[in-house]
Amino acid sequence: MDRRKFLVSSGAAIAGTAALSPIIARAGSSDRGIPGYTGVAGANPQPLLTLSNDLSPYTGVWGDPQVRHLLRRSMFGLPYSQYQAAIALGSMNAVVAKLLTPVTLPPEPGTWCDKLYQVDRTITDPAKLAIDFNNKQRLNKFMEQSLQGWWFEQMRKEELSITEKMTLLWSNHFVTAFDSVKTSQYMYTYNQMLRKNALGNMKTFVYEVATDPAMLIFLNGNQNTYQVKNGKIIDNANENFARELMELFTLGLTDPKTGANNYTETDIQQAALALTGWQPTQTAPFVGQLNPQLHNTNSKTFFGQSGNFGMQEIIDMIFAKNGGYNVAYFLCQKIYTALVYWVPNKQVVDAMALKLVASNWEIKPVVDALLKSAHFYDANVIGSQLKSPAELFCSLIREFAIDLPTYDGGEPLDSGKTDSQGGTIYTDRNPTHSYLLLAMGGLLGQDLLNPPNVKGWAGGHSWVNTGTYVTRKGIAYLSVSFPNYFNGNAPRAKNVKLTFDPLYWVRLIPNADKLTSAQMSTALTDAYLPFHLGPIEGETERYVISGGVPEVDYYLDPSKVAQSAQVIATLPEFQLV
Amino acid sequence: MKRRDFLKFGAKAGIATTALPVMLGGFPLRVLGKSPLQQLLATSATANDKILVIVQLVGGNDGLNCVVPYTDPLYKQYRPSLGLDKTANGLLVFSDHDTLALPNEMDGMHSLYMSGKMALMQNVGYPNPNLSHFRGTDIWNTATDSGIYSNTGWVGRMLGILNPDYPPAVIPKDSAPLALQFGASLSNLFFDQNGGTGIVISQIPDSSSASTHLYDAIPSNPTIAYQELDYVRTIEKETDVYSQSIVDRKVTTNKVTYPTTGKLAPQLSGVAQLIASGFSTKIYLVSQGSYDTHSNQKTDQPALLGELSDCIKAFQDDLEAFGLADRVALMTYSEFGRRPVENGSGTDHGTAAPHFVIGTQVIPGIRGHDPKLATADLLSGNLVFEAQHDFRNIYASVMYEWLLDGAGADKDALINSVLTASGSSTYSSTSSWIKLGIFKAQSNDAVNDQSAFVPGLMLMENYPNPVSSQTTIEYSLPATMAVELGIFNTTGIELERVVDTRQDVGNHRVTFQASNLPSGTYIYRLKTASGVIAKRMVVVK
Repeated sequence: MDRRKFLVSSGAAIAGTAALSPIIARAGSSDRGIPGYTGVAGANPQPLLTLSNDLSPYTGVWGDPQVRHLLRRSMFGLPYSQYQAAIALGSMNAVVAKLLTPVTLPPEPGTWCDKLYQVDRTITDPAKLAIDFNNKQRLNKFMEQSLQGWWFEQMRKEELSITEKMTLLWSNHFVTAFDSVKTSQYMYTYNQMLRKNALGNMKTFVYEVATDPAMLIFLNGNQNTYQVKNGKIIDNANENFARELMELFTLGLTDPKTGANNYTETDIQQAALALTGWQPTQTAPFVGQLNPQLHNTNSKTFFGQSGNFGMQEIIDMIFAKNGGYNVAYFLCQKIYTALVYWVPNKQVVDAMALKLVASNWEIKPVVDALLKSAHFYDANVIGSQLKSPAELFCSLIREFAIDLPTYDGGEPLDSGKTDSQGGTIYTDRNPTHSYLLLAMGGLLGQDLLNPPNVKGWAGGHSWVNTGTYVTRKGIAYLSVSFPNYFNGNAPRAKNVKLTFDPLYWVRLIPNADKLTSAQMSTALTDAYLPFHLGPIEGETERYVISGGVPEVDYYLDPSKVAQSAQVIATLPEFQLV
Repeated sequence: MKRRDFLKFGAKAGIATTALPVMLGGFPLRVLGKSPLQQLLATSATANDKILVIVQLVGGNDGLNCVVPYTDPLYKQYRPSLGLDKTANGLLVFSDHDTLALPNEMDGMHSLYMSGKMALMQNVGYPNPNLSHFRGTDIWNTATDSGIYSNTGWVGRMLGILNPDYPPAVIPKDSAPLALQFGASLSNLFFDQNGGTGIVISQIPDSSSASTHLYDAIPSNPTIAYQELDYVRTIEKETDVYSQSIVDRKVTTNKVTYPTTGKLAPQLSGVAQLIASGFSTKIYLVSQGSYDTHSNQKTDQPALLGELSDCIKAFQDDLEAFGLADRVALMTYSEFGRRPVENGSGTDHGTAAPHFVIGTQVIPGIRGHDPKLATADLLSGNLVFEAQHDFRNIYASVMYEWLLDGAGADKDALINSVLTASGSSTYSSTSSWIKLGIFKAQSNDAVNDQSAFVPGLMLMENYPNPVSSQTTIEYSLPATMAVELGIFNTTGIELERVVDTRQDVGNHRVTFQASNLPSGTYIYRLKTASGVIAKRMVVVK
């Protein structure tokens, strides 16, 4: 299937529904080149100052709002059953410990992950060779999209763990994009590498990132070469990775305290020489390897020191800068903005940075302290983050207990048909996942595995704007409709199936059949919204679930329950976490 | 609508899809104290109907393979594999400047140059250039010295000063945004200290449905979380009003055919539609990329430049066909140019680069010297910008000669508050910006013959403008007084007296039927005992 066409039709399907209106993105989900580039998500953003602006532990009440806040921030949406499981664990320490427990890496989606799609060199007929080349390219593209679905499944099916949240966080820090990498096996390897290191050691993590095949391709590390052939020097130094390694992955442009530049243009050029020669392997295991023939062994001068530096030395020197503080500060800023609030609080980030250095670059103690801090549970923090599209979709699907067809990670089905060039036409195994992922990417701006540029998604206010709002609300509205809108017959989304069972959902609330409409309204809105609703909105919800007469109680009718789900899912409060 | 009615209605339709009034709950007012300067500018500088379309070339466009110094031997020496050759690559030479040429793919823009509609600014840059994509983009958007950081953009600051009350607590039903961007999220170009002055859309909407939720008020002294909730509600409100406004008024067809591939064509054809619809939106931002050609430049860059050139040519032709070309100028920018010496298959981040200003009102020609490629002229291997062509001088010229034309003597003060300092914010140590003479002299200063600033006497831009059948004119009076509001042709003959009576202090709004006026430019003039103000409107049939 042609990604572009699919996107057009799915976009049109959404645009064509009355509830979902108008401002819909055009085809081409990878907005490589759309402004918003700069990552400033609002003017004059104010950091979130609370009574405690450090990592002092939270000692207040450990009640429902706190448990829910911890889980919503650590995970993608909060299904009622997981809230109950966390309550059963008891204390804050127990829940945080559970969230930070290492998980087993998920198995690969299919055996295709083990072998690159390469043209069959034994084919001699040029026409057949061209078809083979074409088919391999298509398969590759297909599997890149399928991988998005696989990743989404990891979020959708997560248990009580912060791993997937951290994986997405790091994918938006150590950015690669399949539009450039164009190798599905490398993108899979890269994604697992992020997950493996998500709560691990920062320095090890950066080394694995720097030698990751997808990264080597994405930032032209594989083209950063130096060789001497027949006595002639061929110097193809490419500075792309060296620059971003420092600017975006470790140090940032300037010292957080003095504002001085962290490095010079000469440092970038010299680091590029030290990083020459790394190439991705062509067979599994997929890693980067140093090809000595392509490596510049001359002396380089970096941060004022000279020597025959290579990858490890450069990374060591970057991490050693100012006792490690500058790297730690920069990275902790990312953790803070992902988990707490989109504008960094300098004092809290400072405390996190000191902790990261003290823990010898272990990430887990920093996150542990953050999730147990008084700052994290402040009333200013709860409900202050705009949901990313991944959070929005997962919270919708997980919180409303929406069922999706089983994901199949295998290669696409051969339809048995060929196109005019003789190439195979493939059929998607996971049309529902593809639809959701394309809406997420093309309409809402979060194309998993394919961020808009090397700085990643800007986040914060940039997620919710006049271009995305109607789609955010509209998808939510349709997903919890009854009878189900996405039932395999939706106009122009015929293969998409999302099953919402209103009565199953509402009965997740204990004693659902015995509550008054006021009690039910409160139970639902507290469970799925980060704000306790005021009288007007609460009354609306109560009115809807009781069938239009707020003074009397309700009986459980699927269409009324669905309407009350629609109220919750389309309130501005649902956009926040 | 009574709350009770809403509830019934809400129950009937689930959450329903029909419009409710949008003043549902504690929306923030963007207003803050206005300085006397702001008050003055707000009343005198919104005068003209000029529009600027900004095209962002994302990723850093390589200048040397865009405006090619093909006769310079150093060019070929620096670019053994990427260098373009006049004959082999079919370069399009500038007939009045035969040391420079555009790539063969840029025939559209070459023809605009040859027909006198393009100014080419050479060696645009700034002191202490930053080679980061992100910091570089920020510097161009926020228009600061290299070492100064700001969260606000030059367009946002300008619009914020001109429209201190934007957006109002209740956005009138048929409003147009001050600035509009095609894209995924609002650029910091459009931010001033109070937030965004523009909106972002991903395409022209074709239908709209407003929110029906009734909300509890945001608490006084709200937590940060409630402030964010307020932000979401504001976006909901803006989405409702502006998308409805676009749906109600848009022109659906362009007058020419745009390229069918690429992401720039739908953006520019959309801008042309909105301008032709009479939107008063003053600034549009579109983008194209990625120009970050570290590798594969030989294939990628010509394709991008060809798309750029074809789209801009179509856009210009479209505006001319609509009869609107004299009101619109287009300008390109990019975070940096690229390194003169190639890296084998591409070029790394560099500094100064050429940029284009296009439109019928542009004084055409190539400005500045050819790129100086000798090692001694480079700084750390990179091109040095031409002092005159600090990018902020281009911004200053675009403001002075185009966007603010007609604003009288206050223009310099306004430009300095956008580019030098405003309140407690400093953007640059420079306070004398050079006007480069990019635009032909406009007639707005003559039309806008307000004798002296009179507090409280204001005449707004008519809406829509251009006018097809009717338009709305708003004005306000400082006291109860006799008022004449007349429509004149450009030779000064009064064609119609719209208002001729005594009116109360405050705001007034009249509708003018233009159905019997032929297409053309007209002047509407408010005459009172306190003063006279006149503005232009365009009628397009």
